[in-house]
Amino acid sequence: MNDGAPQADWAKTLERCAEMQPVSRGTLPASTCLQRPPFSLQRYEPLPHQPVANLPPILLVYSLVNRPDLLDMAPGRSLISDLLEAGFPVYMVDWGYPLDADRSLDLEDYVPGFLGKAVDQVLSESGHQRLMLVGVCQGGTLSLCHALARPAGIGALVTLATPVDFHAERNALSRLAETVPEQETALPGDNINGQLLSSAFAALKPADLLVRRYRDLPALLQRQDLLEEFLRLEAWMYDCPDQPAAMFHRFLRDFYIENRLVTGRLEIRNQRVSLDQLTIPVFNAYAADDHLVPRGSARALGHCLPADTPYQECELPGGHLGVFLSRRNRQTLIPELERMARKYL
Amino acid sequence: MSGPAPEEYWLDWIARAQAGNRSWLRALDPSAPEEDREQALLTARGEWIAAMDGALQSLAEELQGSADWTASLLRHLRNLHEEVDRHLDETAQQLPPDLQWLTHWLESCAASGSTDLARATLDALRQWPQLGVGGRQVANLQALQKSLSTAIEAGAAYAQTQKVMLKKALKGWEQRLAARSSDPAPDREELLETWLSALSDAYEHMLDSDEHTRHLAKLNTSLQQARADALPLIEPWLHGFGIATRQDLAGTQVRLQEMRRANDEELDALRQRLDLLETHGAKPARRNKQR
Repeated sequence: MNDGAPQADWAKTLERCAEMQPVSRGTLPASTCLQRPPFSLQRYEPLPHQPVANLPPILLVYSLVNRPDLLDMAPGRSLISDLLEAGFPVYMVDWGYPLDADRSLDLEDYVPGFLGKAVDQVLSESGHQRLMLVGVCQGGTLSLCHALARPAGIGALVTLATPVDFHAERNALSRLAETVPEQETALPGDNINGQLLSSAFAALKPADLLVRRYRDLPALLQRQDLLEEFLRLEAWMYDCPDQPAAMFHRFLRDFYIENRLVTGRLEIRNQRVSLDQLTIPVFNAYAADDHLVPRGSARALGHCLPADTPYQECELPGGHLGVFLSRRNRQTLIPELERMARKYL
Repeated sequence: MSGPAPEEYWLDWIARAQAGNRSWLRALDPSAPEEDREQALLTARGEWIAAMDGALQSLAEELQGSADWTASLLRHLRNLHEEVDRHLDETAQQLPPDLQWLTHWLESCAASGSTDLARATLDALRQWPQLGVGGRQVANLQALQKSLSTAIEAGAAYAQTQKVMLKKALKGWEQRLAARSSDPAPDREELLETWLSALSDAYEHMLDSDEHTRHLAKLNTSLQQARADALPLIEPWLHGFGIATRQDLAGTQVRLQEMRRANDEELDALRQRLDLLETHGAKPARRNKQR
């Protein structure tokens, strides 16, 4: 058995990685301005040189599946930093780390529940009448639900890499969703283990995510910045909070299995909501090559809205994470958001 | 033809990968600082990859040293096919480790000489109409027995889809390597890339098939059913010892959540009343910024 160069490179690289741990994630200063465990609302401090642009506040809503610090991954790779630079006051919902005791949290506890409180808090603090709601991935789906159930205070809605039509293109994720057994008991079962969920996502592309990704690591040994970036993404990928049982099964049934958002059969707090009721201006950006949210799923939003609802969509090159991690894509997004804010808010 | 038998590469790979188990365990240790756990996880992955590299390096060296590397490769692949089949056939008939004890437990329940009502009378009750408490227990035991056997069947059917996928991947690997020019023999890098590419294609094809979705759904459902069927048998015992179960906790948690929602609704209603009073010029109440 050969124990030559690759293994030696690996040892050196791992040693270097150990020296660099822990890597920082989400470094922009922020404070908690509202808390309902496990949820909280974060207010980002303005940058020292931030321009006074009189722009309305932005409320970011991330997915429940991973941590929202992906939006502030590193200096130079931070959507939040770019928004602050443009002059937006930025707030972000943090869905936290649900515990066993949170197993019965359901859709209504998220929207309009906590998100409604967050909107009120942002408007009350900022003195603005309306804000821009920016939903990312599953957070975009939740934002759409919220805008339908409780549109007050939302002047514009932005959806980034957001699944809307869950049956548009049957991909590996939607097929996996079909294999989860229905919850049939009166009491919610156990929360869905976050590590298990991380593994399921990795299993969608095992050769890329479990082999190639690590095999190429020694090549980064001489590049401190790239190695740091790798470690940050690595820490983010496998930092997956447990999912409250009730919410997980509700989301699976209503969205993945029954596709209620586009069929107009979604009920929130026993009220039927439908995308053809949405009158708030919408900007919808999606990735051209997204293995988690197919283009067709994201683009369906445009077909479901009323004809007179202002709607614009934008296809960005790359994959799912590239929508907000790629500098080029962020350079496309930020001016669009500014334009929207000045036009509609 | 000389050189190590192919299974030796894979056994060596497995041995090396298992040597990385210490890192995996460190990664799982909840008392370790988070950064240590992240690093341990990364180290474990590195050890796993290094093990695979080592196995492929040995194979590449053997092929490169062989007078007819294509024939040698084909021999290895044929043996690999057999190894994969044997391994999957061996594991297909087993329940997941966390459920295996239930089968032993079922067997002990059926054993005679027990002082427990359900166990002692189990054999007799099987001959009689299932009435009363004992009858219910027997029905529970039978339900568990049935769901465990369904889970085993579902596991075997799911293993079959994996077997087909791995065979396709090996075939694809063989075809990719056969399609290249005959000399020189592939090096480690090429062996790995062609393998990953063949595996990805076969794997994606499997994920995209209705058959895989159906078998995995059946497996997941049957495992959930087996756990659900075990609960009515286990819970009364635990309650007898005053041990709270997760079901008991779930009941408490649901009640707490209901109270939390009721409080929120009440608070919202109070806020609305306050807003109304403020709007209509009543004495404004000072509102705290942080609610």
